[in-house]
Amino acid sequence: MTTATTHTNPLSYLTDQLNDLKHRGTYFKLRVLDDEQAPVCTFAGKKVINLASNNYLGLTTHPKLREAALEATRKFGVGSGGGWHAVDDLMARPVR
Amino acid sequence: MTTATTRTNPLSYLTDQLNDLKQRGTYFKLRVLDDEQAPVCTFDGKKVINLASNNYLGLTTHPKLREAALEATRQFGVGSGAVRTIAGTMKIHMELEEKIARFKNVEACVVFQSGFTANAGTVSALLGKEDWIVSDELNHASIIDGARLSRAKIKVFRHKDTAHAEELLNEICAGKFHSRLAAFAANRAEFSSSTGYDTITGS
Repeated sequence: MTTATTHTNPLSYLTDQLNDLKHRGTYFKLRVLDDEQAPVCTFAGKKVINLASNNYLGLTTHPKLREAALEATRKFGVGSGGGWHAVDDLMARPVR
Repeated sequence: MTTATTRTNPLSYLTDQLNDLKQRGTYFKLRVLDDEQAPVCTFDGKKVINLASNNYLGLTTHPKLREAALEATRQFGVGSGAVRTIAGTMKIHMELEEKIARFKNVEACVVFQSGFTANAGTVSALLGKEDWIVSDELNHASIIDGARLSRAKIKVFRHKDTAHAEELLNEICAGKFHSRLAAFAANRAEFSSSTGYDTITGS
């Protein structure tokens, strides 16, 4: 005799929780930014005035910062490769 | 009559604590990396063999990743400008997550900026205060933080002691708690599964 095993997903309660959120109208959908974080930009294919970012001073697209980031990437690669307490202290150097 | 006011720094206890650490020889000084995170690199002006980084696969200096980072910086600037949940989810984040999900053959995935945030974020998101967590005493601090943030009830077993873990699980079951599931954070799964290496004990 074979035993019928039912594989229930142990995480199915999360689906229930998500469905519950949807039902109550409080389900959260991420908005996807297509281009640069700018005052006018494109979210999910739609051109919008962006009043929701934290890019208050427009630093993410500032030419000097962009050039500094390019230079740092060329010189140091794409990441620190460690936690602060392990080996990462590049950021602690004075920024000119 | 004038009153002599002595201004004591309310944070001076921190100086005391630091001095105490120094006296006990456990004061921590950050080591500064001068160049790239590479197998042989320069810390504090000294050329060393680097056995302490998390750059296990050498990805931080891989030419393809470097080129991709340069291209992304040219195209999108130096940052997302907001957290993921507000306005900082970019198309390139979604593309990365979709690629990784396909690679892992799973429904979806979330990319965190570090192993620490991954553990703290997922454990606290998946479990709630009606849950039980049975956790190894040497679990990484990020798992412990995630467990505490989840507000689940936590039982800690002795390192690698499965008999002790079973004992704790039995206690939970015998108590007939309304427990959805007992999460078994037995190992530094996140860390050791990706590296085959135990970052706590170095074994």
